[in-house]
This record gives sequence, structure tokens and C-alpha cells, in this order.
Amino acid sequence: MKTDHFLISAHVDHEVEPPWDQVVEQKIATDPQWKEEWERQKFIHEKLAQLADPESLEKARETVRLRLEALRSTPRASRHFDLNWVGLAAAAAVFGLVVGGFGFWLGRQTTGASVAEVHVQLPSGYTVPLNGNSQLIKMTSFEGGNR
Amino acid sequence: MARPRWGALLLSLTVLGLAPLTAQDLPAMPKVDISLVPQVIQGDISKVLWQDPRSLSATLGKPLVVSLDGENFRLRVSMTVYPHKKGYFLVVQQEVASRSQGAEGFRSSVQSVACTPGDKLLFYPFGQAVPGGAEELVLEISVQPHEAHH
Repeated sequence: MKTDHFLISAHVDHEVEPPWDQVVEQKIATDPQWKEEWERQKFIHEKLAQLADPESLEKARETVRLRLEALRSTPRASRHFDLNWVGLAAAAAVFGLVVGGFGFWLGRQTTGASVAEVHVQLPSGYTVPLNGNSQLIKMTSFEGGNR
Repeated sequence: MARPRWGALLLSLTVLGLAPLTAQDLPAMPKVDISLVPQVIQGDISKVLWQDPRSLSATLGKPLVVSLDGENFRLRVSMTVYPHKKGYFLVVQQEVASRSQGAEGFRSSVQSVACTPGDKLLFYPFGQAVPGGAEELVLEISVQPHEAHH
């Protein structure tokens, strides 16, 4: 679409040479989007042509053209380099997350659930006399009757 | 640019796709239901001052940890049930961090008992008080075969 805009703009400036100008004309006649863009460009060009100092406009256009050329000729390796590293880092992060998650999940599956823990809060203010050693007793009917 | 992202995505999908297959091959670990009633009694088990009954399930051979925090102690009781003949073998391990009159202490112990399903077991983390004595903490434990609805 951007190329189309450039082409239409160039056509408005009479910079498109035959036979391509005919092709552009035909496209403008048949394609509403091209027609709309052509009308827009034409409007802009007309307004620009009405400026008081057409030479300054030419100079400005030349400046823009030179800058665009300079941008095109500048090597973009560093920009690509950065983007590649960002992509690679993102891919590595996703990969690490998935593999790590899978490992964690697999660990849980093979070793069973981790230690189940239940928390019991005793009544506040309650203190137990910390005397004696622990005892584990199996209640028999005899013991049950006596306790 | 797009290549590493697609690669990672495809690898992730492969890994995630294979994961359930691995899980299905593993047999389920048997479980038991544990009825646990931490309670504070006074002199007699029939005189209960406080209790907090819990119905829990545990995997055989895997510890079930109960943490009890009191005003002057932190108690951690780890109960592990093993199959034993027609019943169970219960291993109870406890760790107590306590503070009494400014002094801090730590104690640990391991005890075990063989039991049958439904047997009532009593665990006194701080020992049994003398009859008619002060309040004491007791954990009433009962192990049953696991029921599916748990």
C-alpha cells in the first residue's frame, strides 16, 4: 500500500513515465482506493504549489529526498542484530519456562505430591506446660475405659 | 526473526503433548484417610477444652505434616503411614521449638506404632500430665482405608 502511495504521488508529479503512467491512470479509474489516494495527493500537491515560495518547497523536498537516500544506504545490521537478540532471548525465556514447568510437573508426578501440610492454630493465649517427652499410645478398650 | 519463535512454540507444543502420555504410564500411589483431632484436654480425655477435628488423606509412605502454633511453642508433627500386614504402621516424628522464661529450646522425637484400620491412637507431644493435672495437648489419630469421595 505504501508503494502504491509513492507511485500515485509520483504520478501526480508527472514522474511516472509511459507506458506505466497509463497503467496508473487505469488503476485510478477502476480502483476506488487508488482514486481516493490520487485525489488526496492531488489536493496536497495543489496546496503545496500555491505556497508563496515554491523554491523553498523544492529545497525542502530535496532535503527529504537526500535524507531518505541516506537512511536507505545506512547499513541496518546493528538494528537487525538487536532485534534478533530480543527474539532469541524471548524464545529462550519461553523455552526455559516450558521445560522448567514440565520438569516441575514431572517431578511432582513421579515422586507423588509434595509433603502435605496442615496448619492448626491453637487458641490464643493458650500455653502448654512443656514437660515430659512425647508419647504415642494405641487405645485399647481397657485404656479407653480408664482414661 | 520469526524462526526462533516458531521453533520454541513447536518445541513447547511437542513437550506439552508428550507430557500426559508420561503421566498415564505411572500407577497411582495408594492413599489412606486420616482422622486427626488436635485437642486440649484437662486431666481426662473426656474433658475437652478445645478441639479442631480434621479429615485428611495421605499417600502411603508420604508424610503428612501438621503444624501447631501455640503461645510459647511451634510444634511440627509428621505422620507417615506404611502398609503393615493387614493394617498400618504409623511413624510419628515431632519437632518442637519452644520458649519458656526467655530461654529457647528445641526437641525432636520419632515414635511408631502398628495399628489396624479404625484404631484410636493418641499422641501427646509434650507427654501425659499427671491425673487431675494441668491442661495438655493431645492429637487423636485414626487411620482408615481411603474412600474415593475424599
